[in-house]
Amino acid sequence: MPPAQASSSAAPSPHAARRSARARSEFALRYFVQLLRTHPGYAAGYLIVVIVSAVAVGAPLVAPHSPITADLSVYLQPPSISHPFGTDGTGMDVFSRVIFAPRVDLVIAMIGTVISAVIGIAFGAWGGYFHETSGPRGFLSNSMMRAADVIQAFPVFVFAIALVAVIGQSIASVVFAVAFVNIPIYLRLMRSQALSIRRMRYVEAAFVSGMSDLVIVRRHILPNAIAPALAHLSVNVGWSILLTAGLSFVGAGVRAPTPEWGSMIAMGFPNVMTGQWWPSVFPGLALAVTVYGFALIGASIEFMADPRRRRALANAAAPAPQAKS
Amino acid sequence: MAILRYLGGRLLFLVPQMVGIVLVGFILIKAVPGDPATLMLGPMATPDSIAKLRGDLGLDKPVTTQFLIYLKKLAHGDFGTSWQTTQPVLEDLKVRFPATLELVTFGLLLALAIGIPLGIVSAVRKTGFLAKLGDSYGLVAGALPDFWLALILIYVFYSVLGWVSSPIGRIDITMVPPTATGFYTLGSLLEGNWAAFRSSIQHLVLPVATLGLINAGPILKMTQSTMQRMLQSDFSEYERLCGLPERLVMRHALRNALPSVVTIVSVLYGFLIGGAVLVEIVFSWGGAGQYAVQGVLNSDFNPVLGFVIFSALFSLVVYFTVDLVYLAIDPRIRH
Amino acid sequence: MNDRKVTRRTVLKGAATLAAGSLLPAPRFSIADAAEQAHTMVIAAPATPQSLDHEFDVSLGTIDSVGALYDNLLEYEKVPDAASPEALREDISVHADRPYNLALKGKLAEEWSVSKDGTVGRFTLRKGVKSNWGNELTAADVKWTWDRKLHLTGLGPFQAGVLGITREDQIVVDGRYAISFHVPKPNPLLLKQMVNLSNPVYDAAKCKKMATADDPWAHKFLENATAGFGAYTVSQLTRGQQAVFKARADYYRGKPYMDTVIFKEVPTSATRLSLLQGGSVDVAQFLQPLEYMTLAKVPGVKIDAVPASFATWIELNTKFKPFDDPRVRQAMNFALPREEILRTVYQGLADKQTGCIPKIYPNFTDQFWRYDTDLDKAKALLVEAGLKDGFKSTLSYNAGDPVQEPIAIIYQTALRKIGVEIVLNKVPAATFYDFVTKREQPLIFYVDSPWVPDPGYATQLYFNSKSYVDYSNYVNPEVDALIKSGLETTDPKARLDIYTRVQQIVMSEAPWAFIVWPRYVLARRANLKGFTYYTSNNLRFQDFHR
Repeated sequence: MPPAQASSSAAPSPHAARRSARARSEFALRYFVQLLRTHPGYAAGYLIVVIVSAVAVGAPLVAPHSPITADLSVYLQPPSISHPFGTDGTGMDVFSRVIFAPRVDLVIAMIGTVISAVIGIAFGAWGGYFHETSGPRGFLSNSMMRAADVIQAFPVFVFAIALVAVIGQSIASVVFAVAFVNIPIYLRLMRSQALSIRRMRYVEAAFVSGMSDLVIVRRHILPNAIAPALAHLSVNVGWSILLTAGLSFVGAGVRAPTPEWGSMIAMGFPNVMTGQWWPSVFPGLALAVTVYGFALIGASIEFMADPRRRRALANAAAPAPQAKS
Repeated sequence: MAILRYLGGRLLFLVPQMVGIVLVGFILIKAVPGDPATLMLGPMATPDSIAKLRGDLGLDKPVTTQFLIYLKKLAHGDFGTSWQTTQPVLEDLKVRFPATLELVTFGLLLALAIGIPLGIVSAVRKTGFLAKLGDSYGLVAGALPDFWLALILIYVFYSVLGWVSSPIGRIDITMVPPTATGFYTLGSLLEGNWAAFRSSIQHLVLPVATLGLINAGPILKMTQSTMQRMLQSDFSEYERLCGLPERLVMRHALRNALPSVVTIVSVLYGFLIGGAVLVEIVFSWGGAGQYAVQGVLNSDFNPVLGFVIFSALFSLVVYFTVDLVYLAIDPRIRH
Repeated sequence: MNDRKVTRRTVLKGAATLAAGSLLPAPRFSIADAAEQAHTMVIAAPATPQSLDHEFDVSLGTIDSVGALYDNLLEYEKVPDAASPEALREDISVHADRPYNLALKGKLAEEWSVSKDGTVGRFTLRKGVKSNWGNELTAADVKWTWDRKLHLTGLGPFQAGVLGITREDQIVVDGRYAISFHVPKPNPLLLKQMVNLSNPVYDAAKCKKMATADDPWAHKFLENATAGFGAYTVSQLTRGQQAVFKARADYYRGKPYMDTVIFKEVPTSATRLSLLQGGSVDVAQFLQPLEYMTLAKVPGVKIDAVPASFATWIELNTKFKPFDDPRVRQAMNFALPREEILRTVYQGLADKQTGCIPKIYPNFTDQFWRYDTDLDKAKALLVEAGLKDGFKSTLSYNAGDPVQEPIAIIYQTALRKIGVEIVLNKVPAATFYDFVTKREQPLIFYVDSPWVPDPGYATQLYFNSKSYVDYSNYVNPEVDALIKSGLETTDPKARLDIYTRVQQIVMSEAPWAFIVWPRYVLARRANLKGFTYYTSNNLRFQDFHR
């Protein structure tokens, strides 16, 4: 990837800068649309995520019943007109709860992923840059990697459960657990990228020109190394949702009666064997579809990051009109 | 010689890594609230008897002292005792670890059987049904929660269709489990006990299907992407230019794609030892992951630490073996 | 719904069997060894026994084992259960016409008496009773058993303390087969304690052999092995998998019908259910109410649901505001939708809790019950207590008990209607007991049963301000005094008056949010007979036959 614009002595005119920026974004948009047209699968992914997010935001308007009010007069009813997904063992409407659940699942997964990405990327860039240098910073970099090794060698699930048990049951503790177990991934991704980038000539040039380490990392290493980590974000969100659900299934997740797909599956689990399948199956479906959507988005980002495929797509696209002057 | 030095260096790294893992685990587990002494004695116990038991268990000492004591015992092969089972953790794990290993191994074999062929086909054929299936399989499989899929399989194949005799446990409850090795399949074969063998296979069907179907995803994706890269690479082009039949080109490409597949299998193997816990719980498998989770939830420290050590050691052994395999199959590394 | 499922399943199963033949798994239950099967009982339990030394272990698996491995001095006579004709239960009523007002039968003791002043209990042991190690039962065994209680720090001190026994010299060997207990004050529980599952007799001769210098009371030995006079011995104990018990041919009452009992650990109730449904086990223990109801429609399977000594309630911690005000506690009781919970969560397999001791216990009365669900009354009481805008609190429940979460959610919704906002706190089993015993939670569930069928014993446990189990921090000196006086007299009339008054006070002060008395339910094969209910809520394998 071409290096980002370094600060140089000859600044381009403001008009030219704006024009090329607009041209770039126009081209990106056109390319994106072309991608979706030729790969409807990816379009489905974006659609899913958009719908789920919209549902999460607009849940109070869409849900026919309250998601946390027990009503024993409709105890364990199979799907019907008034309760499209049926009701569960406390009479709560499964459909309403499935719709409210993304508010919790998505928020936990996104915040957890973002936190782990920010921390992992920052430390990974720093650590990669200072890898095997002498002095305290090199030592810190190596210790950081060893610490990441240790965390990753730990069975993820046991670790997450223990974290939640220590902090206490709350949304914050689940976010913390999710973030914590994901940090090493971003750490590694950034680090390996940073390792190769720091050898590049322009970095050497910046160093020679007297730029401080911090600025080098921020200006040169970070923007150029970040692509694989960003590509991983979407997939990570999906995986974090699964982890949250798994934690709730074991009983280390959010508080009852907060609607959350994993805890809904857990609450309905004993009922599956006695024939009431709907409290567990519907949340699981919603969960699977949502994670699938995020995975598709991740796949599309991966696609766009691959220069070979990008070229093939661009060639297949209709010739784009030239940027206006 | 250089190889030996490289491998030796890796081995040396093991010890501080393991100590680090044990330390992290110890601190974490000790931070979990809950008092095993109260649990063991039940609600009727007097504060005196609880205090005495805590002293017996060594829980009244400062944490650093407890850690050092633990390390010292560990050096002698003493993993402590689980208060839930009143057995030494080592004995418990000797039974449970093979249970998980058996499940995960068969699950991965099934995943390989699904993932590799599908991955190859979807890499070779860009269009067609199988290619599309290959593309989306990985994503779908990765999106399914494993515990949910297990539930669905139980519901369909047991509650509704009745094709599976009992969804629970590793073997029919009226049978005596084979004692040779910890693996029921291998053990029953070694003992010539066909009934036990059939029963253990039957009980493996659903959980292995769950793990296999889901983990085929990453294997498929890795196979597909690596195969594609290999098939489009220079050496493959060259082979085609030289007039080699496509079949041979594919075989060579596959051979070169193998290291990546081996990598992902090793990662999955290490992950699933602890990661199969939800499936273990649904099927009451009696595996090591389940054992550790019960330990965390019930303030039973030693099983958790024992499990962490076992699974970390296992992962390290697997990675080590993988490195050896690489040395064997990749001529470049040897030089 | 369930009928449909069974039919469809049967049809599909038949079709599949025809179609795929040998490729399919073997049928679920081969009738081949029918005779052998008849004398083998297979139990699907939540967990295998942890330690077999009941001094230190009250887990479900252990108490089911102790009843078969060990015998007591006395037992209650058995009567048929009113609700389940095929089931028996202990006769724990007060019988004016019987000695000591109890319907007792001798087990290891063939004669017993209590002195006129109520301070000495004498027992004459049966002769020729052999332990599973071949040692004969003598008074020395009883002495050693009770001395052990005084020296170990598990349940022993409590069990001995109930009788006021704190010194070894209070247990006297009067002869080879004669033993006496000397208690400081007349104690109505003297004989009842000898029936209590917690007080069987150990084979002292064997235990002394297995004792070591660091372990003079053979605790390590008894963890994994038996030394007693019971009907069974443990032949295999693989914790986490199964325990196998074998009947003793030389049991003094004759060899039990069930020659072999396999106690299988199956942690998930849904799978215990499926095992019973499929015919692989004889008994599926501790299922969920809905699961029991599914079984009610399966041919070849029967459910016995008998009133029991269990109670499920919520501790209203009187140390926390606003639960220090009895009006608020009463309001909490008026707000609880008991009938609905009974109907749905418990599927009718429980009884509304209308008193503070088990309904089946002597001297129980429900005349002081007035808390049938009434949200208006609840609201009025809150206003009276100065809380017209309601208040906030936290309710903790056990993650390991599946009925607690739905009840908590239902209660939360009901309380919201009177302005009380409750945050639910799901606690893993380990931390849960910690929370309960520390008494630092304002509201917390509790499920328990007082094993000794006696009003004094039951109220002493929960409502005596000095009791370790008074988890609601309830303090009332009048109640303390009453309970104590009732435990120092053997006069049935006096005790009836005392404990009626205790119940009156406790019910009006409502330290608990009373929920239900869950029934003890046994899900079994229809041809398995002999189920007997004990107030210690365990099975005794020797009762069963086909």
